[in-house]
Amino acid sequence: MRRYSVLFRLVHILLLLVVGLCGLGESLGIRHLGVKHWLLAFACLAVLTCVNFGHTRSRILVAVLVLVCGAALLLFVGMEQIGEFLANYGSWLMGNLDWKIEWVIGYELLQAIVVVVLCYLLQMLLERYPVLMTVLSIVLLAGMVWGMIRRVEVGHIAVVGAIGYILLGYIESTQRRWDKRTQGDIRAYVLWLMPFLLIYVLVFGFTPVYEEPYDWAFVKEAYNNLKERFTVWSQSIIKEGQEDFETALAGFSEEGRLAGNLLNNDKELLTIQGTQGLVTNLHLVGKVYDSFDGTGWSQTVYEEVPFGMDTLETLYAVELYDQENVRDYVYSTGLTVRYEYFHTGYLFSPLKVTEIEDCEYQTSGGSLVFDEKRGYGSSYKLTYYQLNLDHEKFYGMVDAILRQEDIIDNEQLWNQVVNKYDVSEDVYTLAELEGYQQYNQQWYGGELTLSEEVEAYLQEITTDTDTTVEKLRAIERALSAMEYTKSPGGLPDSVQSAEDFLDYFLLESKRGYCSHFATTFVLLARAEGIPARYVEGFCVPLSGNKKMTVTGNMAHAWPEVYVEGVGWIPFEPTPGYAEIRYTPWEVKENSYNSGYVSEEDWEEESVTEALEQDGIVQELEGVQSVTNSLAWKILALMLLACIGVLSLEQLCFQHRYKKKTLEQQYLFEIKKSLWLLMRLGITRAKEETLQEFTERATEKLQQDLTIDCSWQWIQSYEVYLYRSADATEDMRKIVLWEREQLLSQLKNQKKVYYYYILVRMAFVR
Amino acid sequence: MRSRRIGWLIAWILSLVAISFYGGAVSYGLFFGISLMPVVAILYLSLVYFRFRIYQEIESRNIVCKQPMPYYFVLHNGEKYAFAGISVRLFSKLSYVEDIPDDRECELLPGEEYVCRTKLVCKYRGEYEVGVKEVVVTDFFRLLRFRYRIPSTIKALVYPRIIRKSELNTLAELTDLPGKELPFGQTHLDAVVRDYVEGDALKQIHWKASARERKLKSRNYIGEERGGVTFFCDTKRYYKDIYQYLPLENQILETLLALGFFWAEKNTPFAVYFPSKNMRMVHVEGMNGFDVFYEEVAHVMFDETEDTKLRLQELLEAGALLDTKLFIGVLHEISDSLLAMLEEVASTGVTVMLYVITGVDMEGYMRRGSERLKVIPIPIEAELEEVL
Repeated sequence: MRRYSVLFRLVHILLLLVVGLCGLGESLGIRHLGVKHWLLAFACLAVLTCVNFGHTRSRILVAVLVLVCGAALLLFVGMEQIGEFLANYGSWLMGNLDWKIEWVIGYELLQAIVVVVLCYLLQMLLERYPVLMTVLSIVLLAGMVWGMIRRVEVGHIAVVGAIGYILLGYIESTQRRWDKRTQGDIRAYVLWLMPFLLIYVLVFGFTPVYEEPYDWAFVKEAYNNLKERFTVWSQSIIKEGQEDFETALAGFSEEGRLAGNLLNNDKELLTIQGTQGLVTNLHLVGKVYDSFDGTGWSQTVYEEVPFGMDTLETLYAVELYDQENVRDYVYSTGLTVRYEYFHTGYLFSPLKVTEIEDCEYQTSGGSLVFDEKRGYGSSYKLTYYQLNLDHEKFYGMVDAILRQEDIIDNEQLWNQVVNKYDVSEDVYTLAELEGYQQYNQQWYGGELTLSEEVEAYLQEITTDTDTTVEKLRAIERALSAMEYTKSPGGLPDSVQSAEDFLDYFLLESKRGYCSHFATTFVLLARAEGIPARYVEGFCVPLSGNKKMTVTGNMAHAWPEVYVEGVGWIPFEPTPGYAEIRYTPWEVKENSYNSGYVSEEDWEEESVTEALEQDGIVQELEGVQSVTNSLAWKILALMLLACIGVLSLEQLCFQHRYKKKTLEQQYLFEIKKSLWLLMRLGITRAKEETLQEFTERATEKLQQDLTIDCSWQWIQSYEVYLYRSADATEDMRKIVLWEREQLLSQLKNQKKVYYYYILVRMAFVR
Repeated sequence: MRSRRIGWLIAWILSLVAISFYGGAVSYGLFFGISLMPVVAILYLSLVYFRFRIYQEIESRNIVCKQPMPYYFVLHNGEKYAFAGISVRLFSKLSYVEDIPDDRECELLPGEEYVCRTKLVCKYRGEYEVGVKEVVVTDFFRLLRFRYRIPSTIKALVYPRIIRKSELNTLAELTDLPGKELPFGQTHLDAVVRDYVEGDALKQIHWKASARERKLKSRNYIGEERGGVTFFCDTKRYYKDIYQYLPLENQILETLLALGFFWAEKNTPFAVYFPSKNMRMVHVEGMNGFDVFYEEVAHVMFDETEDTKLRLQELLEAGALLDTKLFIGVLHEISDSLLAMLEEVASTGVTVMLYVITGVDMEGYMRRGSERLKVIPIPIEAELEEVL
């Protein structure tokens, strides 16, 4: 029964120790929990168990051991040092920094001993008052839940220990309340269930732990699929045949009217999923307008233009201008666009699109339209080129193309560009490009007569500009310096033409929203003889996100200018929008991959910087390794002290044995042999004769271990006991020899158990 | 157990909520810790199912109905782990044990055993399983319970019980009881012999006359056609369910035995007709022949295809119902046509007594009874000592 008590207590204390050292260790000051802490904890636990359950001799032995260890430590470290160490223990506990860094490990080890002692005392208390175990379990559980809610970092091992302890408490509580017909000792019961509890703890120990909450992907997927199907079905019924223009917004509408105020609209319209290489914010072109009547824009040109010709023109310009550094000007990336609560025939895409997959479409003027109207759930993939707008290199290229400096049309290069970028199934020729250029000049150039005041204003803002690009940027700057408002009010009735609008807006109102500014820019550009168009679509501030939902509030209007030889280039005259429009990437001089810093580059850079600033860490690590080695030395010293004490005790015993009489030696050997049999599960019963005992032992040994044993020593013992024979040296030798025989057979059968028995037998007294 | 299961389910759902909102060791630890509980419980139950052995024995497998028979069973744990809760369920519809062990579980640590010594009583005649029927294993969390039928049950052969009554209330009204002067008695034989006819009983053969005339001669009973008692036992199986047909058949046979004992003790010879498969007839003359009669009754086979009325008709046509003084039928069902047929028999001077073992109200048929025709209903579960 004592064996059950010891094991029962040890199991509980081990679980408590796991919670104490792994879970609460850090808050108790043990920040570097390692093997040495555990070794010391086990040693301490062994001492406490021995003191608690051992015989007097064991207790004395343990006391001597502890004293020797203490003395060895005293000699090794020194009285003064230990005094100082202990004196500073309190301040270390209180978090006071007035202690030596090399003592940290010592304090931590000391703390581990304190934890073991506390666990031991706690378990003793819990065994006496089992109801407290339920209380402790509740406290542990509450603590874990609190830690979880407060997102306190707790180790997996500590959680396993805590839940294991709670489970043990649950089993014990269940057992106490279980009314059974036959019910044994609770300690034996719990210990005999240990195989299952061990399996539980082991499996539990190997379960995965994730830092993130479980995302229920499969449930969400199922729900979303269901929701998706329903929404597709319902939207197709509700919106059948409708064009879902956001008329309340300036961004996207059937007619680009410049009347009324903007309303807030956070309806989800599109979802954008970007691919790698998405470096700029996104502007999705929806509808392109060509004609303005003073109060609104309209599309009058529906002619089908060659798809991707504009992109090819830009790429051709870049290749022509700076073939070696294409990525300094344009950068290819991809998108997936999905329609949400939006029903329309217009296809939304960035300006320099090269490829559109998963849908049927065609060009209509400058716009892209689906063959059939699309709604919820429709999606398509597209590939496009981002422009390095606002970068001097880009505008330098535009200027150069416009000036035709060093640039001569190169049919061979054009063909190379067409083949390289593979924009369209049709192979466009340079002649077709010229046709396209004429088309743009014809429909978007227009002629506009400005009033004198506006003419003067334009003159004023474009003073000191030499190139077309500079002119356009000057207009952009001037407009973006005006006031942005969502409620500019309606246009006065006097505004009947484009000229009237410019007079009103530039000279009177000077405030408005994107449509006003875009319109003004387009009109002024046209007045300067530069083809321009008014575009409505969505301005999507990706801000580094790869995925984004486009809402009605993102609707926007902006001007695009046609530069012959470069293609359409967007500008951003709306106040406050320039930061979103212009997100140029860095360009490295003489680098093919100009400016696009890869993630690997960033990481490498960060690591290097971190390493440079890591001096303090290195220093701390040095101190730690010194203290670690000191701790190991102390532990080794203690181990040596233990071995020394035990060896000394053994020597003393040998000395005493030799001094014993032959009879005493014989009886001692008999005692050892009987002890050995007891360890093998054969104990002599009270009323059993030696003869009966021998018969039973023979049978059991043969059955359980297939060991044959000669029992001469028992017979001689019987003779000694009942016939008053004197013990002889031969009798003693028989006992020794037969025990050796038994042990050698045991060694063959159960090697590990044999060594265990051998160690235990060395301490039989 | 139900509250524990509900508690576990709530804890599990809460742990699901926890992992849905919080990452980290605690939320996932709670989830896996709670989820693993039934897994370990199932593992434990499976091990117990495959490893647990139960030993049971009964003193003799041949048992007389309602006679206690020493019986014991042993629950033993030969494993290296504890059996947290094991209980047994016994066959209880056809048999029962005295001092029934309650439903509480036994806890068995390695090497321990629980021995239950008691007495087993079988309620009905027949061959059926008795003793421990099922083992119920409960896991140490008390979350799951697994019940399984043990493969090695005991099958007992149960003989019917003999109700030994010297006086039967149901026969008390009969004034003209057949006595031992009736022709089946040896002392009242007619001396005239005739040639042996196939079917004559051995004891009917007149050995001296046969020896003298060198051919078999049978005693010829003349001058007294009506004599003795004739029994007819209904051997039709009326139900398919053993729990329905066994009590009925047992009551039929015990009634027959009680009546037979009554007449045998009075040394009144009687003949019993068992219409199972081929019509079998047993002559009983006093207590000496009773053992043979008992063996016959114990081994009567009931048959679903049997037609009771048809068999009685055959007996009537063969004259077996008419050359007796008292005809006793032990039946389960009677009908108007059957009663009409037996009324005809009664009209010839034969006293007809019908013991109907039934749970159905027989009031209508009882009213149709007369001085010579009586219908006596006997409930299936009734104590025959009181009813007869």
